[in-house]
Amino acid sequence: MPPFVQNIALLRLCPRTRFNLYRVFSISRATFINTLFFTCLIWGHSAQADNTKDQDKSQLDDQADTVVVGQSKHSAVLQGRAASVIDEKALKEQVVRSVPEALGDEIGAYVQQTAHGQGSVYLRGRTGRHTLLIIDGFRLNHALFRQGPNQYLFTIDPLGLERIEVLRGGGSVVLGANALSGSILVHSKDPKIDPYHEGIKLQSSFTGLYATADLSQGVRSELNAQINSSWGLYLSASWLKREELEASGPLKLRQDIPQVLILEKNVPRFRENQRLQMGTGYEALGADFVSRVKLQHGEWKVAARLFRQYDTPRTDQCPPPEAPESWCLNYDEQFRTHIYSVLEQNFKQAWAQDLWVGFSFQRQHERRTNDRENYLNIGRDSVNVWELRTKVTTKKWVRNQQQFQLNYGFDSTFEQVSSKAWDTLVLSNITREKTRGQYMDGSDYLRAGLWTQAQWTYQDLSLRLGSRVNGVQARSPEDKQSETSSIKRQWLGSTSALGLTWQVTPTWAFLSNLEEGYAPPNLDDLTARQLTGQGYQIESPNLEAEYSLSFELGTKFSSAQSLRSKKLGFSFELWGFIQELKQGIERRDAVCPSTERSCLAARISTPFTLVNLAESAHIYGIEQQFTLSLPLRITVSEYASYALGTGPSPLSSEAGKSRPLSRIPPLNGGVKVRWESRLQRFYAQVGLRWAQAQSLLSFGDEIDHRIPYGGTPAYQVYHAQLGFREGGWSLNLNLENLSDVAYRVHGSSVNGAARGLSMFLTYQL
Amino acid sequence: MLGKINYLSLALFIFILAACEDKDPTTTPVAGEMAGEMAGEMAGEMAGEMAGEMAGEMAEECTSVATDYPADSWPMCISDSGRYELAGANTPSSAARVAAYEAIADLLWRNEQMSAEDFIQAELIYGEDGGVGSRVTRRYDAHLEAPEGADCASADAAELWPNYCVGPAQIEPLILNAFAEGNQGQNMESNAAKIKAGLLWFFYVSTYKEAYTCAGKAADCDSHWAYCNGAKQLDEEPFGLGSEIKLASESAYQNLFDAHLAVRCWRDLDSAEISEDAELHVQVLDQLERALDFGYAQILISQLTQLGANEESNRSSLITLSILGPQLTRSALLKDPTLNQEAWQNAWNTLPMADSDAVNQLLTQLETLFTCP
Repeated sequence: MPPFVQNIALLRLCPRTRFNLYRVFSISRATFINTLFFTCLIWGHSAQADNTKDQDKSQLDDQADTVVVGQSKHSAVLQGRAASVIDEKALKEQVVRSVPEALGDEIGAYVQQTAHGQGSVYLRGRTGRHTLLIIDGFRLNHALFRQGPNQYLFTIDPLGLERIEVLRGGGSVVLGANALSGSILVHSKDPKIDPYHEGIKLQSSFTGLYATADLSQGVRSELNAQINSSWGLYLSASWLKREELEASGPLKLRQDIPQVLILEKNVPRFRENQRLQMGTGYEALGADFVSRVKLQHGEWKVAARLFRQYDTPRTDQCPPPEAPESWCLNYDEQFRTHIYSVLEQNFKQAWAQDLWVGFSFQRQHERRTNDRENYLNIGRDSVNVWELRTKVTTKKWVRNQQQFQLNYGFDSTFEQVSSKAWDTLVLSNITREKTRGQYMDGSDYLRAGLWTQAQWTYQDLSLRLGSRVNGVQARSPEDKQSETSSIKRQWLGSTSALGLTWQVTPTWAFLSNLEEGYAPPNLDDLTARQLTGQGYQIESPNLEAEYSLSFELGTKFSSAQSLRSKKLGFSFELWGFIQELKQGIERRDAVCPSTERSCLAARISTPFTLVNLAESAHIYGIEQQFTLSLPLRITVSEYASYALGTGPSPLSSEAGKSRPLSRIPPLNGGVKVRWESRLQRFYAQVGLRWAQAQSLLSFGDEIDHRIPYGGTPAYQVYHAQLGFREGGWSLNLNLENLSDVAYRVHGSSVNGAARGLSMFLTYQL
Repeated sequence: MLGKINYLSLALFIFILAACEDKDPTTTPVAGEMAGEMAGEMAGEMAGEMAGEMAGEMAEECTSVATDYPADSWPMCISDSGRYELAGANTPSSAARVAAYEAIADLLWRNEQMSAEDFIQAELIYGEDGGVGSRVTRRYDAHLEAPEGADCASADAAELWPNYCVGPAQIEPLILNAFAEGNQGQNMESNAAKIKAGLLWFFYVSTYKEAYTCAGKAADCDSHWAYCNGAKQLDEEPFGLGSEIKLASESAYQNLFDAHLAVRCWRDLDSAEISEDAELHVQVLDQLERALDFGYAQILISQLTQLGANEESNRSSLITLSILGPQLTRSALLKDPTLNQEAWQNAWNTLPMADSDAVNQLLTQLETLFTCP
């Protein structure tokens, strides 16, 4: 039996415990890598045997159909909006560690890293319940999404993506609840089908990754198996391991602070060499299986995608400030399982020309161990999300220079929560289940929405008008022992959107959008009891939904179309926005339940609950970017973003005063100069990412041990990327932090990586 | 070829299935009833009954140190109302750790039917995230000068700096071993006594430490007060160490509360983010140290006095005292530099086996040394 088959046979025993499973992986790590390697080789050999040998692979790729039926290559929701797209090529060229990191160079986005293996993206100054994450057309946001949902984008392999679309500003009408400040639409790789090829065609690729700053090692192998001209399969498997992340040392902070205070914000902790950060490193596995069948007037896709992240410490709690070095809050398991089916059909009917209908099951599972040497606090939370989503597009009616088209749809999710917690006395080997977990076991959350959006175009003007009705129900059982009361809440809300685009010339347009947003409280807001970076959170069962009204005005100019020569070009984009947040949910100091000892003894003494602010909060901002294309295939691009958020102070002692909103990013931006060879075989790029200091801090920010006293210092970080491809080989190199400067993104637990090299090496058969 | 693809697909699915979630921990069954049967048999009777009756009151001839708060020499300050006013925004979390002492006391040394399960429940309270155990494990003794490079959170702290890093080096092993045995139903009375002593020792060290670090962080002044009595005003029933001191001597407790007010008064008068009046800080630390040591000594005197009344049932008290007593060595030497330190230490260490003469001798020494604060 070949070695990889033996290994799979071992796994087939499917150890029911994580420890057994992990033992399989960790004891025979080398064997596991061999497994992947041999798997890839076999795929490769299969491909070689059947492929038309002399064909240029990239040419084949270009021919392959990746365009979704009835849609442009980019989601329709981006039209007329402030948006950007990161394609597969850019993802590889950046040599990104994660999906959030891939957004680090995007206008209006700011990536806060809670840990080496956790991070959340801020869009226009907000994250969590104010941003919506969509993967392959389905919500990644679920009922347990925290205010800083830092794990979830890390449960997606960036190498498994076709593109990431970033929509800045509201999108609640089409996308649903939580799309207040922005949305991230992630599109995974699918089978590529070459419509001109009859019979079987196999393509496989093997990518190895390595990085010096965290001694990352990883492999990803992919197989595209076209069975015939209408059916294709896509399979992938990946493994990744990252060690402790090296930074360029601790931040240079105020020197006039007494030791007692320095220790309280001693995050992250460093090893003796003052370079390696404790509480970093993790492992991950991923796999995809997708079947795509082209139908006569559409296509049908079935996919199973999973991601398994292991042993991801939360850096600021591993160890916590002042605690012994051996203490660590570790996410032993952060799993995402996604199985879905999508049918796209062209009915050629006026009122239902194109149909998109998807049904999905998604499970997010996390297991944490707060290892305090003599005591273990174990928590396990899972949420199963069932989702049905439909979208219908009518035909486009054209008359007298006018065009009219209607989109409408329905979407619904039902989510069930399982949550438990245990305490273990290590010396006595005694484990006791706690009366409740972080959430209430058996809670559920139902969400449904009905929407329509009309698009009318007349000459240079384009008008978009849409509306959605949302209904949400949250239920949670009672637990008398922990003084938790039962919850049964319903919210009904509606949102509307209005967009106007004036195409002044073919290359220049003004765009304005007025968007209402809607974010009902979820089960995390309503029922969670948890220690956060900003204090101990106790449940807030009486919360109401948040609403937003956003207005944005922008202009886009691109000379590329007017200049027939592509040697010289210029594009420019400028946006200003204002968002009013009504009934905004903020933290307010609270009283611990008498039975909740963790709350009573929490390090940051102020427990908080969530409240709806009586008055509106406001976020203002401006964003701009330009790209200049010069002769010799040189491009210079630049972007900058700024947001300012203020709202009424949530502190009872500061009634009537206003405070900055929590963790609003500072003024930030970046510059890049890029050159690429004529056939795009070589490229080289140097860039700078910068951010001003952020000293506008909310009440929560001030006590957050991840944010230094007085705020987060400014930084400028230089990086360079270069790469080439030759035959089936391609190499992408990223030289990060060239000046080896110690820096931290505002709100992060980890400092940025030290000067180092990261790389992807890909061989495509 | 199709067969090969199917085979690979199957292998991939097996791979997917293999990455399954870990099973939940197995909950340990409630401790056996045997331990419970023995519970209470050895329960101490003395708590409360005689408390206070024989407690040494401060000798009338004691005259307070002229610089001690309250005194005319002090400018007006926030403490003049006689209430402790918070320096920080909220009641410090240390109050919850002292409340945990009371919960543990109810389960163990105040529980006439103590069982192994009570020990388990008590340790769950002790070991709560952010709870009292989390602070014991990193507590350093601010009475001592910090050795160069000392870091009580480092892995080898207990080995390198056993006196300075008193929490991880001495207090924590004492408490954890007592819990480990008690959880098995072994020597429950004496293990409860060790836990009690360990916690009181921790509060004693912490009260001084927080007043010391209050120079850099004003809210630590609140913690110094909370660690001593659970953040209680003078007219409220104190918790923890304050409760034990008040039980032994009302006046010693009053004297200690004045020292808390002195600390708060200093930080009111010296209200810069980082203290600027080091001289006044030293002065209030001295007042606090004397008041704390005097109160602590009153606990020992009171308990030793009661031992004579019922020697047989007070083995657990002797264990507690044998742990608490040596902590006064530094203070005793300050009061009497000629004190035979070795003999003094030895007397405390052998207290659980000591006869009444030895007990009386220690009592006399304490009463002589700690006549006045």
